[in-house]
Amino acid sequence: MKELTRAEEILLTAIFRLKDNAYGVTIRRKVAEVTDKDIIYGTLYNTLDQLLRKGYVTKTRGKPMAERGGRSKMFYNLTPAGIQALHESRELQKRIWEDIPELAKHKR
Amino acid sequence: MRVKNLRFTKPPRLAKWLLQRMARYEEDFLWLGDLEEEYGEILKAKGSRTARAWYLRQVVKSLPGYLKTSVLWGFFIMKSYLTTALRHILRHKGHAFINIASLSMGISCSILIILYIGYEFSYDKYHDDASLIYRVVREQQGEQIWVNSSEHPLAASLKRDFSEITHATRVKKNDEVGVVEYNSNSFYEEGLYFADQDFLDIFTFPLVLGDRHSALKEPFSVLITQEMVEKYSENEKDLLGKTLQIKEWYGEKKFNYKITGILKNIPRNSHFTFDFLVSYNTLYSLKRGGKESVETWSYREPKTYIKLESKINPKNLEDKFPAFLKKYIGEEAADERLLIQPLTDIHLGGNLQFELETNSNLKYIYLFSAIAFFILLIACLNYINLSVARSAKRSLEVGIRKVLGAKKVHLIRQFLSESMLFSLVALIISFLLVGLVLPSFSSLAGRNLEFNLIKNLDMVVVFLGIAVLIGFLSGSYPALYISSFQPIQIIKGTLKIGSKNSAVFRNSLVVIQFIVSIILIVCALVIHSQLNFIRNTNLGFDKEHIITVYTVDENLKSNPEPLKKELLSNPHILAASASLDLPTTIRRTTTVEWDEQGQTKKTSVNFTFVDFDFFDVYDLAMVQGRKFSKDFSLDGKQSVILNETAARNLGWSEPVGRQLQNRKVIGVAKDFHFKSLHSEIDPVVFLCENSWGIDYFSIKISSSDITGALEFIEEKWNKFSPEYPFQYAFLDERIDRIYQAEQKLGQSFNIFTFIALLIACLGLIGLASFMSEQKRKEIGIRKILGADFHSIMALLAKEYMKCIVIASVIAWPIGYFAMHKWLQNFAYRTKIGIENFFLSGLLALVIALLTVGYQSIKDASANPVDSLRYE
Repeated sequence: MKELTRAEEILLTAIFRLKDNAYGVTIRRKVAEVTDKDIIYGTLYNTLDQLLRKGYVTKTRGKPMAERGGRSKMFYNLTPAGIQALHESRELQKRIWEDIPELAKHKR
Repeated sequence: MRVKNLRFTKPPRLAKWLLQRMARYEEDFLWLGDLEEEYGEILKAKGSRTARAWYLRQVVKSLPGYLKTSVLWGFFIMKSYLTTALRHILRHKGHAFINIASLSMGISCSILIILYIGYEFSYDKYHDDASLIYRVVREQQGEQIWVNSSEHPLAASLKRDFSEITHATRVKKNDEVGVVEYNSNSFYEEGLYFADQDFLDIFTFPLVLGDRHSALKEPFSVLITQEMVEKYSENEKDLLGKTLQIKEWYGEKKFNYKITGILKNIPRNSHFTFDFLVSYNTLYSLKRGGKESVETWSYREPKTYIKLESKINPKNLEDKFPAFLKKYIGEEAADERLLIQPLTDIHLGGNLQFELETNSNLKYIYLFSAIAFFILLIACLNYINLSVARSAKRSLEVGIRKVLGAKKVHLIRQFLSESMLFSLVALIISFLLVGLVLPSFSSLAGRNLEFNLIKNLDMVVVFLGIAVLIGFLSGSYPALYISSFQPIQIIKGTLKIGSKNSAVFRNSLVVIQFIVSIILIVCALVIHSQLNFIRNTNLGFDKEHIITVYTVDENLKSNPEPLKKELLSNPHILAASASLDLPTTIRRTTTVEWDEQGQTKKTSVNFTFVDFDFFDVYDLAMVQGRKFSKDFSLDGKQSVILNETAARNLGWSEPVGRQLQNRKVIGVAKDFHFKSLHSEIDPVVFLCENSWGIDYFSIKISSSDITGALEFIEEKWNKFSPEYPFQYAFLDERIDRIYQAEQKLGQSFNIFTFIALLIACLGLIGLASFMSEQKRKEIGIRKILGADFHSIMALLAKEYMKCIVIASVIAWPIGYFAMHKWLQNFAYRTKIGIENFFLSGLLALVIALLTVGYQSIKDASANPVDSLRYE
């Protein structure tokens, strides 16, 4: 299986954390929280589309809401494949960092 | 909570609109909801300004990514459109060939015409500050004729009296050809001009060698062009400071001229071109009367050009001219006006009286633009007609695309990109075609046209624009039409394409095409008949087998008789005459005065000096009295002959025997056309003297041995005038040259008419083959029911005949008015015969029937079994 990109990884973890409340606004907030970066909706949805195409997430449509200009929310949920991908990503991460001590100590 | 302006509680409208444009699918709009939700929260927390800024940032930053994907997808989609289009082209080669051929012919024609028009507008624009340069012209009160020549002192006086005028120069073309000699190379030269020093400040023709601030100051200075340097010296390149000899019309003998500068060759898009430029004060020495005879207000000769200090309204300057004229000329000038004409308007401003060279006219620009437009129109209509006609073939494709989710917009895009493909391919072919025919078109147009894809990039962009426009125009109707098919109907097979309405549409396009074609045919025919009329009109003098020789040799000019005598010794030479003018060059005018019942009357007449043989050589007929004759001793001094118009203008019914300025009228010659047929015959007075010296020999030879006679004349010429080269022209060739512009117009019309017809016929072939496909079953059934070959032919041809009859009826009056207007240019013109119209209609009909004929015969003679077998 292909490795996740960093952006995909961040989004997947965000959706995982948000459980049943993962839609555009909350995902973007979560991502901002974790990465300290204010990402653009254009980028966010591009990556979400990518994840959809790979089959890591599914989307379900909510009810139209007035404060959203009459538009509905689009909720995202992880698929088993998505969870599997996250799991593998974490294992990979672990292997990459194994045996590597705290880098700060080696600073000159 | 602060009170917020309501206006700012909504997200920025422009940004929102932009986002909505960016959303491709319905679901994309959902994230508009996300934006709005968050916007609302920020609005509450931080106020409208922050919220709006945030919203805007979100949108703007999303743009690059969106553009990238859309361009990428656009590319994939375009590729798929193009693949479909290519497949379609390859599967229907005939149809594609007709479309591409007609579009590329149409585009080629318009490229050629645009190049021509661009060239026409480039005249005289290459001078620095060309917009400040003006030509001084004169308007005679009462007559709407502008005269292009002015008095000699005018230029200097204008410059002196008006501070607005910084430079002024006289320009004068040598009246006739001069002979230039350098190191034993000698040639007749026509491009000899005189100009003041200011000429080089006004017209910034670049100098290769020499000082442009002093080159024309001294008398007997001459500037020559690089072309002339090459002509006169093979090996010397640096002729600066060298001496040329020039002998001109005025000169008693040759003079030496110092070369003070070498000019770059004069661009052809200049309203006058010259090879030699001589300082104006040289004329003081050349003219018999010296400086006084030049610097006088008593006659008009040179053209005057001025350069203004800054851009001003010409009217302001012109308003000061009446006082100026009064100051120098006096009350006589009250009935004329001095005007200034911008340099850049001269070439397309038509011909004033006494132009240096023949100008063009804005009328021709309009005419050719119209032709280009109409030829393109015919080509576009072909495309529209064929695409719509064949749309049945593509309905299944459209249906399936629609069922699979394509929207109308997508189909329109698909068909538009197909027509764009056609027009771009046609454009590329046109570039090749133009490259092929440009040299011959240039010579037809008499212009030095060039087209280079790299050098004329701006033009290429224009043509690309035209091609895209054509692709759009010709593709949009079929695209809209085809894309509006209902998939249900298509797939059920209930879609009716050959309906009544579409037949009317198809036929009206054919009618428009034939209207244009028939108008062009009418014009071509009328121009042709007017040219024939010119050629066959009896000009009133003999023009066949007459050799004319121009001379500057002073000995021959003053004493032509010995050469004439010697020439006549050859039996092939029938007659010879030496005269100041040929019957076609009589232009000198004078005012004659006479007494009529105690009152002195005045009128303006042309005059010329002839010898005793002139009337015989040209076979001029007399209405009254007799010709000049050696038998009457007074004829050589005190007799005149009038032409009919002169007699009429003088008001004399019995002119023979009357006195005209101390000369006795001995006869009246029948009017002959000494000017072109554009103008009426003017009065002429013939004098039988040789006081000014003759300019021309006219030699009538028998048609039996023209080469022998020419050799004989040359031999004798070299004996009598060994210093000067022998150059001759047949009179009929000289006359043909007068109507060159009309002949070229006629030729271009023939060519463009031919192309228009060809394109229209190509369309007709396509349409006919399509129609017969549609009617195969109908024909089959008719044949089974007993219809014969002829009735089926008639059935097929009837529709086109109807189109052409309707087109003719509409085209004839338009063609008539157009040609009626054109013929007004001629004082003597042919009648627009009704046969021209019938012929044009008939021609269109015959050509159309020939084009559809093959198809019809094939259909009419087909075995009905073939077409009905599968029913």
